[in-house]
Amino acid sequence: MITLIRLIVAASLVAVAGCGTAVDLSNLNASYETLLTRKYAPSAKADGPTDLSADTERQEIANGFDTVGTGALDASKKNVETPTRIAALRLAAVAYWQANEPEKATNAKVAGLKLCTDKAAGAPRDCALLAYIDILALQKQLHAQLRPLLLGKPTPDALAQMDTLINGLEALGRMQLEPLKGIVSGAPPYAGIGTGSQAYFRKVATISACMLSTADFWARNATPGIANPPRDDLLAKAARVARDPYGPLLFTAGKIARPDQDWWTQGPECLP
Amino acid sequence: MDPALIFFIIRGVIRVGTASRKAYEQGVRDKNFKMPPLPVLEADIDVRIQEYFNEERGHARALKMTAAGGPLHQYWIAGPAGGGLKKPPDDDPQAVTRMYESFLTAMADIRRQRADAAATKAGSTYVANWINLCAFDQEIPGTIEVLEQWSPDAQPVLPWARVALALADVALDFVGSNPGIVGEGSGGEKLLKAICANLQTWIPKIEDGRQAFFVERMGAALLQSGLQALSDNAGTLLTDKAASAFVGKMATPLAELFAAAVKAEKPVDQLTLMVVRDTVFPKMVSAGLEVLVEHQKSVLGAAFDPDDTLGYFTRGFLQALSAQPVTKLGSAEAWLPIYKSLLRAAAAKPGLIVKGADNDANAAVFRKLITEVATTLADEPWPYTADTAIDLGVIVIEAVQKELPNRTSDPWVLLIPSALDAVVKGLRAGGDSFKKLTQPDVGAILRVILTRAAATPGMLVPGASTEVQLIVTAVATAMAQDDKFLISADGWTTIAATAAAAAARNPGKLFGISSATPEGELAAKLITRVLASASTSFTNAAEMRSKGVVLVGETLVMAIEDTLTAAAGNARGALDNIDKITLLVDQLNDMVVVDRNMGKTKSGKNPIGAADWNWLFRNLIADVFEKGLDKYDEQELRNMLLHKPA
Repeated sequence: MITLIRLIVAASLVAVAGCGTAVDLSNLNASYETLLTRKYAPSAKADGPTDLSADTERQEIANGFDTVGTGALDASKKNVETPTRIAALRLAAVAYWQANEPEKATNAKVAGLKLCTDKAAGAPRDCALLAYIDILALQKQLHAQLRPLLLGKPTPDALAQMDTLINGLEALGRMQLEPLKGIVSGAPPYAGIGTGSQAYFRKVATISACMLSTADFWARNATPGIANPPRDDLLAKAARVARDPYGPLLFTAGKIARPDQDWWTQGPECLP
Repeated sequence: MDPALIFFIIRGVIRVGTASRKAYEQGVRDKNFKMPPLPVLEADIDVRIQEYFNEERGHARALKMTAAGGPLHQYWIAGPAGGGLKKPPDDDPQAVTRMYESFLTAMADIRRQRADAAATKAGSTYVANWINLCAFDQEIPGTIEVLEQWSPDAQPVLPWARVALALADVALDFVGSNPGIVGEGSGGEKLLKAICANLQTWIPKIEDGRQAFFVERMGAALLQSGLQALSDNAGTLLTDKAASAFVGKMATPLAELFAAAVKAEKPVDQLTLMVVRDTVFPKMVSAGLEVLVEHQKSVLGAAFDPDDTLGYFTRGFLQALSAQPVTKLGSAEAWLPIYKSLLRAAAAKPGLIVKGADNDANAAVFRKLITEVATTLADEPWPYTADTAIDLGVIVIEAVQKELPNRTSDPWVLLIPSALDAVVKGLRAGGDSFKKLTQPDVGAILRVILTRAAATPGMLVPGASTEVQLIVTAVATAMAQDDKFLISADGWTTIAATAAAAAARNPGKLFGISSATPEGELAAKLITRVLASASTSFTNAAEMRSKGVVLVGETLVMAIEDTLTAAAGNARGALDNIDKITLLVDQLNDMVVVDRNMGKTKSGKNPIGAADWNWLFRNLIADVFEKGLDKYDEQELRNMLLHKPA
């Protein structure tokens, strides 16, 4: 009887190995969501650089995300199924991104994408998010640069800054081409991805295009002509980028009928 | 236990355990994931409208609407920087809303017209306002995005379904060797349905990992042992209601205890319960089903509703398993015989169980009972050891519940501790003298004593069970003194039964005269005296046979019985004339023992047989106690034999 007890207990331990990791992941997810809600809750804005409470809150939230990221990274190293590892690395990457730890986020992304092979990784959304982590970070960065420029006039200095920004938008568009193709077509490792998740990544593409056209329109308000070659150069660059990579990107996203469609000149209605 | 069943159990445990672990992991990783809001180019509605209809930069078609004569002119002020919205009157709260609606409708119309135009005419002049590029007019900036892992048609098997499949797998494995065990309408099918129905009750959210995992393994254990029990009891009629109640009441207490241990962050308790789940729980299920079957048969097919009793009984037992006195005495599995005995008793005579106001109170009664049993047995009396002390508990429970009348004022659960206490004290009083005794011998004695006592429940009531204690001591002491083994084990049980019955009918007479030492009790003295008298009539077995001694074995047992019976009627006389017993025995022995040389008794007569010996003794012992005679005339005795009834 004692032997039987030992055998059953041993069998139990074998079966239960790894369950603790899933419990950790669930707890980490919960912490992450709490932090996310805090970060993006509509609260009183900071009065200025001297608003210590807001700064403290921001730092606290960032630290919290960093902790979540570290916990998720640890969880990914445990004895669990591959899709669960990918999910842990996805959480780590996003959490580190929110903690303003780009290097850590990239490391988690690289580790996760290694597991996202063509042979059905079993976590399509998570593989997509891992592929997009750098894209989302760049988009947010460019958006933060774009907004203050748009509020001002297209002065020569501002035109120069916008020119650099359009370079960034071009890179942003190119980064999205391959993963978006895979996500929309449902090719491995994105096979079976949720439709809402697909719509999310299409939205990312559309927002990127919108940023480009916004920059272009802003630049048109500058005085045209020979006296303003920066403006003309910028418009030419914007048009080029609009055709490639954004034409194919918007086509992949289902926003325009043909990849070579002149969505740029046809106005906003081509973007439903 | 069948080795094949051992393997089956282990394999099933691993299979379901693995499936449930994977199911839980799947649930966690596929949960909807929240992403930070995407950056959108925000613009409040005023700015949006002003840019769209801006006279310098705005849309050509839009400008016509705000110009004089246009439908939106009433809301517009022309001026520097391309004009702007007119401030609506303060006294009209709906004015702002109407204004915005008008402009947004106009914008949507223009957009639609341009889309049609663009489709048919390429290369039109790009004059649109940048804000309209954003298709997110209706977006609320800062919305957290929720992303799901799978599209509906690609969703893998849901976590609960995986567990169900794993349980089905276990059942199918069983079916291989027991066809029909889970066939339609079978007890096995009802059991499986009941388990599945209860799974989500035991754990509402599968994401709660530790509890989910515990419950799913418990379900597997329940299924395996339940199917085995049903298989062992072929033809068992298990109704849906009985199966559902059985599954719920057996497993719910265990699931609830584990949930409480998780909530209280008590890892030791959690581990204990996991061991209980994997070792003793399957056997509890088997025992429970056996009792269910027994009870169904005994009540002639009436539906057995174990609802309350089984539920709170099981809960009380499981709660007791973590109590220190209980664990000190034995592992959870070691207590299983107690569980079975108590469950049988509870099922057989549920009316004798004291019931509190609610099931928690009832569970507390059983928990207390088991804890008291453990405390009483903590210092185990000889011949029981630490490993076998629980056996003593089983003996007491089974013996007491067997003979308890259906109508008694004393709750059955109170009598058990009292009876056990009396037995343990009785055995301890014997001290070293009991070292000659074996557990089976003592066990047999105890059963008959308790069975007789249970028929008179007043003997077991707390505070009144001293007599039982004294009976145990007296009989055990006498057994220990039978160093020539004149009386067999069966014989001693007969003596014990007689002693207990006599004590029950004559309270205080046989065992209550003097309690200074065990041998101070009348009954003990009497038994010892008769035994000693028998013992001195020969020195060894060869001599016994050659002399034709009859006062051994059954004859001796009957003599002791007759002595006790007579003493019950005249205790004072028995005590005063106890020495006369030896004289009577010696005289009767002289009528039996044959002189080797003469072939006749000492008095030259033919020897009498054992039956005649017993008859004479039975008819004279009361007289001895009454009159205290030293000797009878032999011829008179032989005349009595001539005239004894046939």
